Amino acid sequence: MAIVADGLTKQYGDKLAVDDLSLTIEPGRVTGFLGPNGAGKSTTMRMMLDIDRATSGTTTFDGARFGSLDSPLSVVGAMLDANAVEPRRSARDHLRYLAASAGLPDSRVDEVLGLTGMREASRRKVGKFSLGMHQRLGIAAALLGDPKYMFFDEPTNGLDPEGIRWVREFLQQLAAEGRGVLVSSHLLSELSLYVDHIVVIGKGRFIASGSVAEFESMTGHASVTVESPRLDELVALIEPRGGQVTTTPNGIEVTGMTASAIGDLAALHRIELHELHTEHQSLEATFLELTADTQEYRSTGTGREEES
Amino acid sequence: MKNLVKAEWIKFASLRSSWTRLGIALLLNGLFVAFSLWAFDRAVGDVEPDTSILSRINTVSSGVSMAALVFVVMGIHIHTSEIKSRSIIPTAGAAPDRRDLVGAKTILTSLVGVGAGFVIMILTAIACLIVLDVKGFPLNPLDDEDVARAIAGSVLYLAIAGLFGLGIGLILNSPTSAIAIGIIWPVAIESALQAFLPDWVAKLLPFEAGSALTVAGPDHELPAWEGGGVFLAWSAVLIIIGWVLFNRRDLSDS
Repeated sequence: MAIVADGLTKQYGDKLAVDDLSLTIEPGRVTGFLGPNGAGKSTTMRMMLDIDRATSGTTTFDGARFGSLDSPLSVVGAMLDANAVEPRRSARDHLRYLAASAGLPDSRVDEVLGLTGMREASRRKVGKFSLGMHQRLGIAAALLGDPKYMFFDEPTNGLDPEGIRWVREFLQQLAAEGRGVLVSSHLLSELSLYVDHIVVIGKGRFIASGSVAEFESMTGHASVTVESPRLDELVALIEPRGGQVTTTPNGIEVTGMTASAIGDLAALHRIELHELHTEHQSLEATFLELTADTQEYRSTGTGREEES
Repeated sequence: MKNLVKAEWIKFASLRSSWTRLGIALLLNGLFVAFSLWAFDRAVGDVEPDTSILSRINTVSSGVSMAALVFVVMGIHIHTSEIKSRSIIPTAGAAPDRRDLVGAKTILTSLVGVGAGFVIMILTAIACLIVLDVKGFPLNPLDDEDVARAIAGSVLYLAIAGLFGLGIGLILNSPTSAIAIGIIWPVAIESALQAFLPDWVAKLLPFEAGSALTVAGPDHELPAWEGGGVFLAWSAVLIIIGWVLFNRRDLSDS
């Protein structure tokens, strides 16, 4: 059982915002949804929940279409836009009407206000909330139905470090409880700290998916840093065996060979090593490389941005 | 549906502006009735005042056309305030069937329209009957069924005006343009159309037809319930068109 989006496509006039995109959200793990600005992440999430109509394609939640669910809040809770609230209404009343839609009692409203640390502010008008409080209210709304799946679109956007940590731990806790969590973000280094699985899109198209570890090794660009007092001899041994060597201020960086292979080679020739370790490409570097051709906005290096 | 109607009620009741609007409707209605009472027994030039029973009854409902404008705005806001604040996004996440959502808004608008219209008309009628009695033109609602019919008809007129506003709001999806059209239509456009349309068409325009509900006696082109039916039909058509458009829209673009 899972959320399965199949062939989602969204066309705005001549522009194809999402192109035949398919993805699966499984329970019990946090799936990171990555892509550069304008990649179609938010549009995809909105189509999955019928907020925006898909030009083509379908999404099913454990086999059922969202619109046909008897109790949608208990299947999927979402925070797609933390600011999408009536500013003149109190936080509690915002949650009360959402709860009433699903036949949930007001006591559930009080529960989620407590879970998100919003109880004190619950009777204040939402228009007076800080960005962080908006995010907490959005998360509280998503939790109302105690859902099996949860969607969060950029939940840490604009939050301070404490808020980011709270969201990170909260989403991990949700996944640990067996829920399937889909979270989009462009804060890649942050996302890599807590997602279990990553789906990368660019210009509305699927690019790659896998675990964080798989992404780090996906492009095969892991390099080995080596320090030795006999580097010239070592380089002469490495290069004939397929290793590409780059000289650095403190030693050499080798690609195309593993650390163990280099270590064995050095030991065989009694060459002492002072440092030998593998440097994996960061998730961010992998992401930028994967999406290099799909960045909609790219710096020109002159402080101006141009559309590619 | 019951849950959705309850949710719509919480949305409506939790905004102070909803109550302010109803207060303005009561005030406007009262002001116009007060003016009618002031002018009731005054001669205008050589024209003697009409103090007949029918005229007394029509004084009771003389402010309802102004109150109806506020009810139109109320109906518009029941949909467009969610669009303006974008809270339609979490709403649709909790209630994805947009047909049910529009149905719940229609029921809520009807219930609020009838409830608030009843309170406004009863308060106004009591005050009006007391003043008429003091002036020496008593009107006993128990003796003349036209009094009760005019009050009940005015309540329905206000409720249908709310539905008319909801339909315009659903179609235009923007509070500013919907309020502009919702007020200009009865105040200016319909009056202008009546000037050059044939009578048999002009009497079928929404607010003109609906006003048959609010007057007593044979003063109107249409019988009361037929006129009310025409007004309701216009409102229903607007809501259906609005629902079709709402069902096709991307809510994030609203």
